[in-house]
Amino acid sequence: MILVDEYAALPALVGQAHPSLGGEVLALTYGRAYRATRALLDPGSGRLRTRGRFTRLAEALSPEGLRALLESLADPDPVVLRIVDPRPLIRAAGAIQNAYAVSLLQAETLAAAVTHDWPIRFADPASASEPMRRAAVELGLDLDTI
Amino acid sequence: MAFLDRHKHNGEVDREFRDWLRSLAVHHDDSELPRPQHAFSDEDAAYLVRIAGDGTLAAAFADIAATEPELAG
Repeated sequence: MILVDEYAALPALVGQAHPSLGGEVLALTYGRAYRATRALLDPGSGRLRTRGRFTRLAEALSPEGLRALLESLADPDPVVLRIVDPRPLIRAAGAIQNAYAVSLLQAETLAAAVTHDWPIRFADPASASEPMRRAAVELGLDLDTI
Repeated sequence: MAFLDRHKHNGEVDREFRDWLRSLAVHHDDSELPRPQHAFSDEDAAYLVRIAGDGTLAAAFADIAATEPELAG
């Protein structure tokens, strides 16, 4: 299992995982799945005619594509991607956030890697901010960008 | 939050809004039955790969993080 960011998870969900991931099953934290859902699956102009900040992103997809993305982000094919259960990570994430200047999203990622002994592979170098890298080094984690 | 305001009356949201929120739930099937496959057209797949790599998604995340720093990173 390889822990990834959303930039690596999205291509994998559509069958185009980065070759360096070697066909491994990927893992995405709950917080990252939540953030991607917020950005991509804004409910938009449904029955209530609502529009959100990111509706334009969702509107570029076909209705079938949007539905497939909604379903695959909430309940992905487990041979491709798994959403990490956040419950076992609560104490580790809390301790990490007390020790390092990282966000809840980053702390959950670090906690998942520590708890499950998973490598972390980010497709966007910005996901590996300096505080994140420092924490990963001190925690003995295998963090790299692809 | 104008859309919420339209469905809020006397400090409470209306039934339509609550029904809509309930409709967003994704119910997981933990049985061993074959899972539905999520098919993407070539165009949708190409779009999702593009926005994951060209900064479009990153900009949306930065927008979220600007008001919700716990979702930064």
